[in-house]
Amino acid sequence: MSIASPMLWREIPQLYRLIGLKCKKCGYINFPRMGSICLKCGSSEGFEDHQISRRGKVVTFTVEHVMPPGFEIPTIMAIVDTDDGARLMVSMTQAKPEEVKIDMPVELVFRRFGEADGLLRYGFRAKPIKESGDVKK
Amino acid sequence: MVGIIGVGAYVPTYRIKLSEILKANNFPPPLIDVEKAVPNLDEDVVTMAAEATASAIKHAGISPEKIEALYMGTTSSPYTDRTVVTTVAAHIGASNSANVMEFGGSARAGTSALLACMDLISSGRAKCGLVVAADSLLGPPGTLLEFYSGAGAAALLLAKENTIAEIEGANSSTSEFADKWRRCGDPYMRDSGDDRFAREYGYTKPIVDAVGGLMKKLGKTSKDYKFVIQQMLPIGLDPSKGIDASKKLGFDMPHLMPGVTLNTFGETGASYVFIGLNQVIEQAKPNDRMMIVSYGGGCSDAISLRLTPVADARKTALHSIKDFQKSKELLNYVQYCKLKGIIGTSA
Repeated sequence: MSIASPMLWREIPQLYRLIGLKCKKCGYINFPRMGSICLKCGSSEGFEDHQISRRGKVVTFTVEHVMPPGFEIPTIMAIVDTDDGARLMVSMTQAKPEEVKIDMPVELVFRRFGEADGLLRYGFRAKPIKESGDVKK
Repeated sequence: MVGIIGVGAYVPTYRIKLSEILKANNFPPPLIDVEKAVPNLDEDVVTMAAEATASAIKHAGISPEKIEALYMGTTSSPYTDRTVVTTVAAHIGASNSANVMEFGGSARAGTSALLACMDLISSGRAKCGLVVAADSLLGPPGTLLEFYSGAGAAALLLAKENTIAEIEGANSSTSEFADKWRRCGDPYMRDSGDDRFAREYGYTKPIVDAVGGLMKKLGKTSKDYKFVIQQMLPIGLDPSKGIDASKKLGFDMPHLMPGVTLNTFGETGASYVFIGLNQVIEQAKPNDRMMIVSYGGGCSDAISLRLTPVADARKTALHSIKDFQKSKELLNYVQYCKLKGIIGTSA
């Protein structure tokens, strides 16, 4: 029995669509979607769905050389600030550890990573935007 | 008249040159060096289809909730039994009342989805539908199938109003011809090895029948068409050898070359003709007539399209195929083998 299925169902808006929760009081974009109070102002006035921008930059990162089975080695984990003010932790893709820098511009792309019991998991990863112009969204 | 309101494509970043594959397998260098696209380890037909769909939606300028049907064509889904187009639907935010279908069987899977979707909209059962095709193909090391098996995705949005291209008609031809196949669980495509026989009877005849029949139905001749976007056979050294079918119909290289991506991205299977369509639409003018011709396993679908003035108005929103060449990165053969799972990775 796999535990992946219920989590996948609940988390589709954030996993598949990058939809955060924008605080109705202070406008902070809460991501992941935790739900009851705003992490910034503590308000429980509620949220509205917010489509997070796909462009941002690296705030900080770490290079993981020891990962669970099925994950690529090394995996670069990054904190990314998006253009519209959300902050997320994502893994990076198509990035070499020696090339990753703080403030590096990245694009959030929809990729496949990990599986549980054969069920594939999809989500967003940060891909460096190269100067040659990988610009589409 | 039902037509296309948006087009989008996606091709992975990585490429490998034919010369690199040949060198690694102890073959002499090619007379003409070409490249093919290679997906990253974290890419598959689902991720590529999702990106292509988002691009088509941007071109069409519509809200995803308006999409009433999502039809996907692929021969390389990671699942034999699980609907993957629902992942694409969830990614773009389609409504729960949208109908989804998956098509397979051969590189014709994309045009199969297109034919079904255009009938859906013509019948009035839906106002707007998505057709998306994606494939990530693999041939056994050191074979012609390996030299050309690429990866990519493309999507079309169909509706009756504000179309950038009208679909004038379609015709198909069918035969039981075994030129290429892949069994469940086999990562590699296999072929008969008899390329000339496959080209004459498997490829040429169904295409001549499908296209000839379509032109006859519509009362058109080859002179009415500016572009023919056709599934190409990977005969490599001399592209002109593969156009016997086209010559029989009155078409030649100037019709075919604008839609060719075999030399840049490889054989991208079900998405091939739609990627070519995106490439052609970038240079076509209103009222230009074009034909999409798919081929797979002895069968061919031919679809006639005519560009409308709306195409020009929406040109800035169309994502250019050239952009996928600007950001490409070359691999060596060992890197290629790791990405395709031919040899193991550190994971």
